[in-house]
Amino acid sequence: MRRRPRMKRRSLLAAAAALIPVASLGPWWLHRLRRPETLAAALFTDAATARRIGERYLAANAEERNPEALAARLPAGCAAPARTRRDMAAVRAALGEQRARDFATGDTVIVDGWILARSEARLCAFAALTA
Amino acid sequence: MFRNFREYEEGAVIDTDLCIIGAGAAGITIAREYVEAGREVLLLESGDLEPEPATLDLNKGSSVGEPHPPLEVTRLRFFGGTTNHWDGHCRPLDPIDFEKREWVPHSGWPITFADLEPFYARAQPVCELGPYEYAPEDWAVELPGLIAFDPQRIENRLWQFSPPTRFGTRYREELERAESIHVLFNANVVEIVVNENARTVREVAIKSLDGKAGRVRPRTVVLAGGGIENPRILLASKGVMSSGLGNAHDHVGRYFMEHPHALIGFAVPEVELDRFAPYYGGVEATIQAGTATLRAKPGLSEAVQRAERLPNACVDMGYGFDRSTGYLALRETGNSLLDGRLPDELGDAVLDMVSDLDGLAAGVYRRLTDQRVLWFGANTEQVPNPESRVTLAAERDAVGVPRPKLDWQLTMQDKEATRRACRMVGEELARLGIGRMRLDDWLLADGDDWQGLDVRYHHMGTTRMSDDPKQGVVDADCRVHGIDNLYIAGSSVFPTSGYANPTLTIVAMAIRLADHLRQAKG
Repeated sequence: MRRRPRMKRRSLLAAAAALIPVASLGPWWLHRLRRPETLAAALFTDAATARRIGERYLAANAEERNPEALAARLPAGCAAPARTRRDMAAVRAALGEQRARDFATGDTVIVDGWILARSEARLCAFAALTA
Repeated sequence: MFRNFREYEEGAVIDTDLCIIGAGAAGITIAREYVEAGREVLLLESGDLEPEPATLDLNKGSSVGEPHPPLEVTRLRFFGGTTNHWDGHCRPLDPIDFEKREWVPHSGWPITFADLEPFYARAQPVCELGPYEYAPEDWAVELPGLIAFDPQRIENRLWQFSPPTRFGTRYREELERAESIHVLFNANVVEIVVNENARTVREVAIKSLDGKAGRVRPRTVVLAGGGIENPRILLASKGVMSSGLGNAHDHVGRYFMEHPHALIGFAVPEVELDRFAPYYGGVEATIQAGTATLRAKPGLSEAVQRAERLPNACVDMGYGFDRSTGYLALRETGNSLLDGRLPDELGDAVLDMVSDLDGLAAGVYRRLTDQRVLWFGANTEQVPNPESRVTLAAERDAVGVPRPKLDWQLTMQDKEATRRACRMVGEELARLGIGRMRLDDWLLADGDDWQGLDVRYHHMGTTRMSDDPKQGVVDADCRVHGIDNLYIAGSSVFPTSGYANPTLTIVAMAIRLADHLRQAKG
């Protein structure tokens, strides 16, 4: 029987911790669109949708289907549980900077039509893999 | 002076210094440049002062390529020509549009932006525009809130809006009073007749719709009938040259370009919608002569065009609640009912609503909750393509001229460039934290299909300009290669189209041509 990954719990926490700051980075815009066929419209508004985006990203980038490798590519702290508000703020800042760098350099991906920073897509993929 | 060819005698012969074929933006502009020149100018207009169905019918033709509206819809045949339905968007081409770019096949003008710039400045008042200023910094006071895109990738492009100038209305009195300018209405050109060695235009054969024929004997001819009519007349003028005039190297009618337009996606704004007002609505600016309306669009920087080997492009913005088939049908129906009438095609509208209930519901929801999104449209330079062309059909119109057959062809490069440009704008909106863009499925799909492809009624490239007679139809002075006294005005001479609306460039080029003719021909 395949063992459940030991990092399961920690990863979940990490994903949740990571998703919260991203939700605050992309403020209210996705809440405003409630169209069934645009799954990405609800990206980051709830973890389930984020995971679906992540699955779609992984379907197109199968070589990244590895939580440890994905975690290593995320900004520092994203793959670890946030213990304090200060941790959370640091993760939020790191993600924001990485996201801005991705968009500035054109390191973006298109998932379900939405233009996402690579780091955003990887975050979703990480959430999908560690759920 | 105004005259009506229907009142002439059969077989009338008219001598003139300059014969201009077509009284649209180009033809009227050239005629006006001659008002004080002391030369006899004959401006031939197929139609009259007002549109007449029988004359408009002469514009009919077939379309066999990409979806294109009926040719008689996109063009008009009465005094003022197609300026009678012009919406007034004005902007010069960009300097890079004139360059030979290795990554844009068949690109390169034999003149530069600097060559044309003085004429752009002169074209501004002709089109009743503000000062010749199109850089955002020129309008920093009037447009303080433009988005600070990364200038290495995206730049703000500004448009000025003409009232719009209806050339036939605006310049009617001036031309009617000018003693040396003779506007001849109801005179349809059926052939440009050259001498035996095909080096000189001998006469222009004209005919009225009631069958009356006549001849014009000019020293110089300017063909200014538009991007479809110019090649049509050249190809139909085969009395001496079986392939038509200026067509020794089979370029006449080829390289037909439009500004392909389609909605490419939408964005959910992360800031108040008003932030985008200079892009979707336009801003009124006070200028010395009154007001100028300005609008901005994000466009590809020269740097990124060179770095990524892209054609020129920019992106339109609009806003609304939804653009699904169901919602749009509901909206149109509702508007009609509010106007107190049933929609023209009520059955189709109901079918659209029923077949797209999801879209209808989403649109209604957004409408009720006042949630608007931004729409984006492609505004891309079409890459010159010799297979995109105007030829002659077998059918003839009421005066005996073969009808035009349009085979508009886009290439994969056009779609890829559009996709790249739109994505870059989306990346910038996200980087700046002001909006998130979703691209439509058709734009991301493989293949060269466009969904909802629309056109701007900009017909360009069919008598392209080149220094090399083997590569083009007219030279840098707009003279048809190999024919001493035949010139062409209008966007048919554009070797490339840029993304800018062509009328300002048409007028600038017309002024330049008039200067040349006055200097060269006296």
